[in-house]
This record gives sequence, C-alpha cells and structure tokens, in this order.
Amino acid sequence: MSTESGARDRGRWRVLQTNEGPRSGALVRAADAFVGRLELPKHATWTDIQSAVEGIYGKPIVLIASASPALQAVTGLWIDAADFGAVVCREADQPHYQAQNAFHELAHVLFAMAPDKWFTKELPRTPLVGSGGPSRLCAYSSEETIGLSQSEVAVEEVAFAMARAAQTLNRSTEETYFG
Amino acid sequence: MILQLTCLALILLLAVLRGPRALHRSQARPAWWASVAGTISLTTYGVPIPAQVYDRLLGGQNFLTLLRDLAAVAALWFLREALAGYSRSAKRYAAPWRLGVALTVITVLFVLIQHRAPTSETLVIDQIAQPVSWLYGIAYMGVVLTMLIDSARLTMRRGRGPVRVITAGAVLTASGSVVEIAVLTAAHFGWGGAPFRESFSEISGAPFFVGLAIMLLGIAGATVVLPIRRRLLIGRLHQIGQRRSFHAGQRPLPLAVLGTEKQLVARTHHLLIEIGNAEHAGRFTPTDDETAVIRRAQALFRPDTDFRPTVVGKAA
Repeated sequence: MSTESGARDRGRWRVLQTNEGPRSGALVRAADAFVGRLELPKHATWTDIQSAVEGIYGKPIVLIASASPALQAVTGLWIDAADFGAVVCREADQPHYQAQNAFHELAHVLFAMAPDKWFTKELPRTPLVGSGGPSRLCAYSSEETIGLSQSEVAVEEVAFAMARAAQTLNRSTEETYFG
Repeated sequence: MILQLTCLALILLLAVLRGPRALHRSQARPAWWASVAGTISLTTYGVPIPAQVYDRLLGGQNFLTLLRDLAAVAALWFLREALAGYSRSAKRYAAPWRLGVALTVITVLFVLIQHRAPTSETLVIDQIAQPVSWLYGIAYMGVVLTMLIDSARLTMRRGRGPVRVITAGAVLTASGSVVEIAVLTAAHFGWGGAPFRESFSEISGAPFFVGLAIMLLGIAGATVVLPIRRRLLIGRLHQIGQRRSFHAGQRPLPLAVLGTEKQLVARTHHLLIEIGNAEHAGRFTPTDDETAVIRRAQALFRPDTDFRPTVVGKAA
C-alpha cells in the first residue's frame, strides 16, 4: 500500500460536489438498471456489492478507512494496483457518508471495467479524467480540472443506486412488531 | 355499543393498514393475526351484519356468541405472541396446544348450554342460572384474563412508547375481565338481586372495551404515529436542504415526505450526502438544531455490519 503522497499520484480522487442541480429521473432509472446487472440479492450488504464488483474487476478489493489528517480535500479514492484494488474512504466521516464514498469508488471501478453493453444513452461510459485506462487511472484531479463533470454525476448516481440496493430502514422494535 | 363499534372501526383500519407489512415480515404477523381475529370477534355485535342474520348463517343456536368468544381468545393469544416476540424473553412463546385446549374447553362448555336459541347478545347472562352457562362465562373470561395478565407481565418493565400504551390497555381490559367474572358469579348465585345484576351487567363491559380501545390506540401509535414522525423528520431535513439551497429545483416539501419507505430512505440518504458534501466543502456549518436533525436522520438507516473498513494512518 502506498503512502498518501504516493496515493495522490496513483489514486483517483473523488472531488466534492459543489453545485448539484435537479436529478434526472432517466439517469436515476438508468443507474438502478446498471446496478441491477450486478444481480445483487434483495437486501444486499456491502459484502454482496463488493463481491459483485470484484467479479467484474477481476481482482480483490480492499476497503480502507484513512485516519490521516492529510486526507482533507477529498472523500475517497480508488487505487488500482496490479493484483488488487483499494477503495479508501475517510475514517472521520459518518459511516453512511463513508459508505457512499466507497460506493462511488466501486462505481468508478465499474465504469472502467464493466462490459460496453452495460452502458446506455442515459448512462454512457465516460472517459476517466486524466487517465488513459485502468493501468493509469490515477492522475490527481482537482475540483478545478474535473468540476462537476458528467462522468462524476453518472458515477455518483450509480453510487446512489448501490446505496439504494443496500440500505434499509432501521425500525424500532415497537414498529417491527406492531407497525 | 358505541365502544364496540369504535373498537371495530379501529381494529379494521389496523388490519388493513398492517396487511402489506405482515405479508413481508414475520415479526409483524402475530399482531396482524390478532387484528384479523379481533375484527371477526367485533363484527358479531350487529354491524355490519345484523346479529340474527349472522347467527342464521352460522346455523342458529347462538353460535354467534361462540364465534365472538373464540375469535377474541385467538386475538389475545396472537397479541400475546406479538408482545412475547417484542419482549424477547427466554420463555416467550406460548405453546399452541394451550390455545387449542382453551378453545376446546370453551366450545364444549358452550355446546352443553341448554336453550341457546333465539339469537341474543346476552346469552350467558340470559342463561346464567345454568351452572354450565356460568362455567362457560368463567372459562372464557378466565382464559382472557390469564392471557392479558401474561401479556402485561411480558412488557410491564421493558415496554416503550406504543407498547406501554398497549400494556396499560391490557391491564384495564384485565380489570374489566375481573369485573365480568364477578358479575357472572353474582348473577349465577343470585347475589344482589335482579335490578343490581341488570344495571351492573350493562356497565361491566365498559372497562373491558375501553382497555381494548387503548390497546388498539397503542398499536395505531406504532402503525401510524411512528411513520408520521419519521416523515416529519425527513421533512425537516428537506427544509434544511432547501434553506441552505443544497438542492434547488428539487421536489417541494409535501411531495418529499410522501412516497414509499424505500423512496424515503433513498431521499433521506441523498439529502444527508448533499449536506455532508456541503459540510466538507465548507459551505455549510449546521446549527445545534440542524445537527440534531441530521443525527436523527442518520439513525434512520440500519447499520450495514459488513461495512468495516480497515483503519490505517492513525496517529500514534
């Protein structure tokens, strides 16, 4: 595993969204259909989704939470090593926020590795900014260079679709039995 | 009659509202079966089918009374099962054979009552001079009382919110059962004279049905109030987003809090991520009130125990 400065060179950074507009219903549906191709169980867990993405990726994925205070400007990254991939989120974030960022990185993996037939007009495969392919995914991308690109919007929507597949309501015991 | 009809309306509403959830979740089923059995029991009071017509459909001979009582026993048995599941006590489940024995004893005693026709809502009191009629009433009320006390014991200490209300209703209904047993016994042995018995028997059902109505309100609290409170919380979260312009152009508040729970979960998650993004970008610092709303909204999600990242880079 690289150091964080190394990761900066080798990792793909997720930038913070700054100006999200209204979400397109077609994009949301396309993202759900895209995640549907992972053939997840009805109540999927992180492990189910990670395993499904690993199946497409062809390599194991290690999930890491960085506690380093140096990881300030970004919320997650994907490191594509030769034999494995690493998805990094920040330990300081709330668990649901960490999970969303981890899903976002998994979505990047899918955008790079999934078969062409998975992509549609609503959800096209978009080239990764500053990269020439999976082996060189890793150029640092700042908010200025990436802005809120169509690629990031689509990736984030797929991340939301993964979260939808995995999240369930935390009912109280009262509601479980009498609700 | 007003009390019975109120209870019927409430329980029917609960049976309909809770049906889909009972279909999908086994934990929700006992309370739903209780509402179905309770609905059957409460429809024997003349609404929506006149008692004579209903009894004729059952073959006459006041089998309507038997149906009412058996359904009530079944309803309380299922309610006890729901409360037992809720309380998670070691000996929580009543063996089904006990229900079978109770229903059989009540049925046998009923069949032994002489001169059951014509249809009467007060068959047991009408025939209270017969020892078997008195025994029938005592057996039925005794079973009801036992189940209610058992239910209340299960949740007396552990119950929270709506379950406390259900427990309070069970205690009141249990006291109503004690009053009913006392009235039946006094009537059978001729204590107090006919006017006393008649006036007392008219009011003795009140604590029973008021307690039942309280139990139903408790269940309604879990069925209706908790989801409404959740939607209000999501509405407040939505308002935070609107006030801070995180999602200009999104749906207005009334539409944001409607929809299926799956949609609400997705919407809440989306809002929380927008808020998190804004916080990290330094565009939003929540007030204490907003922080409390955000924390409560985060607690709406069941934690995914599989999501356990390996923590690295911790300062020594």
